Amino acid sequence: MSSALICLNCGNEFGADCCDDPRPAGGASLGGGHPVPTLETPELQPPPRVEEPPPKPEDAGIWVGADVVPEGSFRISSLGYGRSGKTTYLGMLYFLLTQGRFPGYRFAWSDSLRELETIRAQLFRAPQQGGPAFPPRTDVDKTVFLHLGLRRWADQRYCDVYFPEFSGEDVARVWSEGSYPPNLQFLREFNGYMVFVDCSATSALDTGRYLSLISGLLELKGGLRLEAPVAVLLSKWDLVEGQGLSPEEFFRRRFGGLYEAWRGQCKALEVFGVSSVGSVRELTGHDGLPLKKDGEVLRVPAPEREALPENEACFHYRPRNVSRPLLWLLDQLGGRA
Amino acid sequence: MKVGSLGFAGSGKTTYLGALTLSLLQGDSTSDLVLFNFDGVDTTRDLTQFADQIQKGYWPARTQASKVSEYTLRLRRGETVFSLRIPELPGELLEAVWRTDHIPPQLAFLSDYDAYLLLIDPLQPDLDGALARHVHLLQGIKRAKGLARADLAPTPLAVVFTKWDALADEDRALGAEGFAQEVLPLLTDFVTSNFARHRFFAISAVGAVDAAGSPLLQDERIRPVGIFEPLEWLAAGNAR
Repeated sequence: MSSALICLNCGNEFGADCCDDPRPAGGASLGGGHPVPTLETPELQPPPRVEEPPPKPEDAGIWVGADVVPEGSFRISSLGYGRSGKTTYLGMLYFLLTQGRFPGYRFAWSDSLRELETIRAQLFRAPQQGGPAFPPRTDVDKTVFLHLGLRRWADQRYCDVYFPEFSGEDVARVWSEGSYPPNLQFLREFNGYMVFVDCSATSALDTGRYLSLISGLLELKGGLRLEAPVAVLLSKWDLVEGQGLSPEEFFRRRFGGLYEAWRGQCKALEVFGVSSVGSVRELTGHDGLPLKKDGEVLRVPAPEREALPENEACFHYRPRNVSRPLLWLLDQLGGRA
Repeated sequence: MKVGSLGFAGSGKTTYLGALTLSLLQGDSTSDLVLFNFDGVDTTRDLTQFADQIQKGYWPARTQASKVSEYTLRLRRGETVFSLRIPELPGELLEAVWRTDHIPPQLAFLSDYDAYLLLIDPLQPDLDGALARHVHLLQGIKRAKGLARADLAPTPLAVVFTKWDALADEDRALGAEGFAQEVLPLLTDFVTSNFARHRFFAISAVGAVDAAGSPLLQDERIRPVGIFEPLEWLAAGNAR
């Protein structure tokens, strides 16, 4: 059994900046005392398809995969390029949910259980099998969607959170054409967005690529300003938090133009420093040289390890702010959908 | 009432059926549910064979991977008789749902049941991974019933932890509900989010095992614990 450490005061996962916004216990209100919004009947929109069902021979049985029922009216999507930490974030989010440690909400559904279990298995891989590792980089031919459904304790409201894994081709089009390709047009129907910005990728080129995520979305939704709330997740925050800056300050200093642009483009924007695994370590060979042929540093999660009887081990992650961006988005959305 | 018993390989479905049958045949029911009769030759033959194996100190043979049956027991409570239709199916077929996102044609009838018993072996290795498969299966059944994921299913669900006697004392001290919340939050949260009527139960089909790991018999009788409670709850239509 493994765990993520949870602050007993606010219910959030462990973090250096934890408890600056204590939340009352019991789930009566969320995100620092915002009132529980009233539930409105949302307008149903066609959901994104998680994946196409495989061909169905006559004797295949009853298809119970993701696309059977058009559903999902209250949706949040992540946006980000490859290697920005989306998959690891989702894995830790799923882990928090599997442990019942997501404040105010409980796990309700997933159309991606197999994928999420694979990610979880990587993060908690036994030492005999090489120890914890990041999920393999997602190289997909077709954009697919990982999914989590949450239900709020207070009023049983249901919410879908989608994590698109963009195909290389789709990512290239967002960047090169500044707009989302036709197969991603449904993103316009989402209610809130989580934009992943890699703290360790701060070049002008990187900044330009991030810029196109929101400008493309604006084009998609129309108008000069995005009404939907946007949570900016500065991923891999553990790599830069030693600088002593708040996430907002870091974002303004390192991505000044992006900060200003998004402040202008987004009606509601909040910046979070997120470290899904808490800390990492670098692996090198016995000769001290990089393990990867291209010389890139190999980083793996570095959870605390607790030895158990019978040569087993238990890993304790210290994720930072994994739940807070999503909670902020959910609070911003209230009953709107 | 059609009660669908679900459980992956090794969860104890057959043993539960055998222990239930033996207790009914011996009149050892600890509840006010008693035997009225078994419906049909197949039901009588198979269930009594399961019971006979337990009475001889053996575990019932594992269900063949290709065998799918549905047994009908008629139970009586006072002057009321009701039918309990319980399927016997190999856990391997249920595993196929996880792999393929399809309920196999042999199990299509599962979506027609009025209530479900989900049997879980809490001692199985990689319990966390197994729970995801249970959740996936319940999602599939809910979908097959035509329910949207945001909807609460009205179908009662009894989550039954088997082999309870083999659990550590501190786990048993939690009780079924506490154990579910403490050790299996993924499943607990899913069930709470999706089934309006649900309850957790702890059972020990044979009560105890001997030094060889076989059912412990006293005067050719087993001492099962809690095996009638899920059925009583389902029969009574108790809301949580």
